[in-house]
Amino acid sequence: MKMPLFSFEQVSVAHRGRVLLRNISLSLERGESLGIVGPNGAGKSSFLLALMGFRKIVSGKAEFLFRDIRSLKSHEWPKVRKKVGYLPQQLQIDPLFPITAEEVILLGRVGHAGFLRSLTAEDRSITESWIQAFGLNDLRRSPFGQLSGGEQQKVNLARLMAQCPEILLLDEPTAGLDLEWQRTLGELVERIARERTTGIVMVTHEVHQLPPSCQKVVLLRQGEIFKAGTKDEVLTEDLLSQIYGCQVKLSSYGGRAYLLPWRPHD
Amino acid sequence: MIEDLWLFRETLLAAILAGVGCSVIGVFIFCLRIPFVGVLISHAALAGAVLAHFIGWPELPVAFAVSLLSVFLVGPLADRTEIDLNLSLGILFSLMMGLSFLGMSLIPEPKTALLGLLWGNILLVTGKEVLAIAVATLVVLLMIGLSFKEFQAILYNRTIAAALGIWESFYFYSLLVLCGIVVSVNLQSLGGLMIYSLLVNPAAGAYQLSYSLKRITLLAILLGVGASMAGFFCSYVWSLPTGASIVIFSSLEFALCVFFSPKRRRVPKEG
Repeated sequence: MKMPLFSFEQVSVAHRGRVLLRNISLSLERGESLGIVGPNGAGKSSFLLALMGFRKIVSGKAEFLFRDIRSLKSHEWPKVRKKVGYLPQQLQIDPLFPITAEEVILLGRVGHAGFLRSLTAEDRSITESWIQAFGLNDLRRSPFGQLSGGEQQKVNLARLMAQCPEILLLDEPTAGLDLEWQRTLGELVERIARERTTGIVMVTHEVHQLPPSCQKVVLLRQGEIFKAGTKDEVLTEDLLSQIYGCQVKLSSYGGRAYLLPWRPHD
Repeated sequence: MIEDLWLFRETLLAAILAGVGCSVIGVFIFCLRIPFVGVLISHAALAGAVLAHFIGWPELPVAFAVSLLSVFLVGPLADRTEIDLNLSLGILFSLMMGLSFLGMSLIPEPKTALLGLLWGNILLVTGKEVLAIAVATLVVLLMIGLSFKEFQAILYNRTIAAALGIWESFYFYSLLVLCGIVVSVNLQSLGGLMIYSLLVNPAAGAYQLSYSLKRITLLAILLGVGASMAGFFCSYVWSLPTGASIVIFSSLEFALCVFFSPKRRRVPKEG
């Protein structure tokens, strides 16, 4: 029997007295990738935050990594979270903050180490293997805050993988990066999706960021699911025009869908 | 000369221990950008001492308890109301000041003993107090040594630390409580105002010199102990106030660190 990594039934999420998500029903199996697409403020990031227990689920049935989210106590969350690779939207890090790229990747093992225990040789070898796999050897001793945006995201992705996660939650992982870095990181995510059984949830408002292997797509609008289905069913000019509130043109290139604004008089 | 020094062994020990404890915890306070926590704790201690006067209990334990209470409150207050930690510090600081002054206006006799917590006198430190400082310093060093990686994660980013599966609130609040312990045990000798320099200067100086948190912590200990020993000897030789000499030395050290900082090296001229 298949066990979903998460399953939401009729879930609503609220924060500071405001409902962020309404009637969300969704699930993800091991090895699947799910893309969540929608305009700014549609509730995409809130969905990831609710999965991580950072936003309150006020109604519905919500399971995450085989635990009932709504009955989890705050001291039980760390046990769930250490199995989740969560990449928040790009953070501003003080460029002088004393941490090297390698130490950032090692942070991925800290949740596994346990109370008052130091990191083991195994923790170090897992970290090492991802440094090698992502080609980060030259950057390992560099201060993290002084890396470029693209390099930082690559290090962050290695940190996520060092956690040996069962599921990756990626919030706009390539936003603000130049074309070359978008491609590099896109390929890394695609490689993870193909080679590993880790489930991937990727949130983005740019559909070309979705990895080609991502078959399940959900369109969010104003906190509700507007349409869910396979990539071909969901990514259509008609539906995308409706959620973005402007006419769009869709074109396909290298397995990825690209969205362009379209004006009749152009 | 050496025999005279022996008379001051407690003062010297207290100065060294203060240098170690304050500068270690100072690194974390500096990285969290909450140096003001030192001022909150010392004024909470003052409020505690005033309270002790009214209920007729010994001053130090009550001052210690109220300081700890204030740092227990500051984290949850910031998190529950979703305000910046520094604002939460400001709210509690003014409350503690208000309570102290209210209490003091009701006490008819002179308040020199109470205000002593703000000025401190390292020459009057007793063997028992040195023992208490030593135990507190040891507890702080152990806790930080054993949980260094968790604390590093929290300094890096609290949300990410929580997402990594670290019990973030526990470690974050413990860091504040450790800070409360260090500051309140050292108050009697250093004083609430002087202690600020040992919290901030060694950490700020060490921060100029390295990109490794471990190395910064070790450097801060060296700078802290250096400043407190140099301050002690100067005050001993020239009969200057000890606390003030320590402040001057720690500030000098900071200036030197900035001067030699590899992080501030000028861009080489081109062409």
